Amino acid sequence: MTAPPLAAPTSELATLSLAGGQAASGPIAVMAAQATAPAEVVRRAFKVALAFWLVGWLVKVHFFWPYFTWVCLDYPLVFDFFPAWAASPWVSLAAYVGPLAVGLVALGSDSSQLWRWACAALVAGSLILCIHQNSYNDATFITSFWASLWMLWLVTRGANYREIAHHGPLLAQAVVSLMFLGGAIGKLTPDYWDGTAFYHLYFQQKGNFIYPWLRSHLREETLMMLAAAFSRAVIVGEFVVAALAWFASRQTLLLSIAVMVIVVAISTSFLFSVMGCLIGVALAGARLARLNEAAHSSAATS
Amino acid sequence: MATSNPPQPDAQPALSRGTARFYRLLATAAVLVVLLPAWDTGRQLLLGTHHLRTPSFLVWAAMQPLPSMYNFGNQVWISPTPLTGEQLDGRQNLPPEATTLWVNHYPTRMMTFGAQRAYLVHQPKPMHYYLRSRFGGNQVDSHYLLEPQLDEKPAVVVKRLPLAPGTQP
Repeated sequence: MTAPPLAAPTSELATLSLAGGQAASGPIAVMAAQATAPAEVVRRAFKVALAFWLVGWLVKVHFFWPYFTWVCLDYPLVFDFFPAWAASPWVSLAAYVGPLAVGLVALGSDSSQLWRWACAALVAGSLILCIHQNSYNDATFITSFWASLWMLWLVTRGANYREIAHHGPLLAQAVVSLMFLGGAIGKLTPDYWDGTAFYHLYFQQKGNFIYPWLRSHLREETLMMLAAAFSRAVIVGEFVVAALAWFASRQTLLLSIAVMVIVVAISTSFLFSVMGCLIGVALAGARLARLNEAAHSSAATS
Repeated sequence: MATSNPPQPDAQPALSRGTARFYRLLATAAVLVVLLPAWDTGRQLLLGTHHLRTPSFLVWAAMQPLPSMYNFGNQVWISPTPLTGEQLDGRQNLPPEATTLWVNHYPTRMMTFGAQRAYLVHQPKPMHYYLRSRFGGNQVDSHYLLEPQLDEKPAVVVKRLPLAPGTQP
């Protein structure tokens, strides 16, 4: 695939207006114009998405590094459900380390070709870990897979800024909404609707945040009622974020980010490994929405 | 210098092939997420993916990218001795060495993920894993046996066993 590089086009520096439509000149005006130039907006959006994706994987590196390099190598599982390659500890280690290494290099580079290779590695690595015996259960790799597909889409658009501006935010919201849709549909079962599942998972079994305090201060029936209310709020909240795909905009992306931050806050910081890449995609999508806003602003003031 | 195509307000850009493909992929995934649970075979398939019990690895792998975080009501019982249906249903007490807990998704993670396999090799004794997942009116139960293999290269062998009579409602 050959795509034109994402170089900053000087012609656009002149056509896009400054924030607020104010006339300005000098170095500050040049810096502001550069910041709103489409290529620069896309570059920053990509870097934000990539940085969050990488932090999502790194936040659990203290678990995954000894797990992949010690447990999986020294204590293999012999399980005939998985083909040999999908059980190989070397495959899971490479699929984890490879995207991290290439992604970190791409984060420090402005080579659009390297970005494309890095995103392809991110897609491949997370897909392999989605179906590998050693990692299939970790939702980190499912959200990472879809987030890296969005990044790959972004860096293979070249200089088609109209397409990026129009579809980038829509696709970012669609990716986030799809993840929440999957979560919501799978909870449409009595165990979740009456709160039993969350009662056990959070109110009985979790040892972090507020849950031990709740256990020691509230009666069993109160905890059960709280779990039912919590569970129904989660299901409704997930459907709301899923529905935002129909109204995708900068505002819906920011709302999605707020929801994801709350989800991480009420669960465990390790959940950032699952949500981090989605937050990154939503932030990047919200930034791309500014491309459209800049164009509207430019048209209004010309 | 690249030729550029600055965004124009209210202009509908042409849908490139890559963009159209990405929309189609997302739409397909969304349709599967909504439709699969709508009928019995779909629900059994979804529950089967969380028990590593699909007709083939390929079917399971194709389902994996579909988001399923915190899906289904999942319970796990772990015991060095086999358990009865009465014990799994709570009508009889569990033996003191057995444990039970709820799992957010993929109850099989209790045997395939983390350091559990290392503990098993060092104990070393076989361990029974009973898994139960419910969704709507469907329920899937599984019984796995994990056997430490203490050869020159230690390993843990995972075997799926048929459920004993009375262990599945």
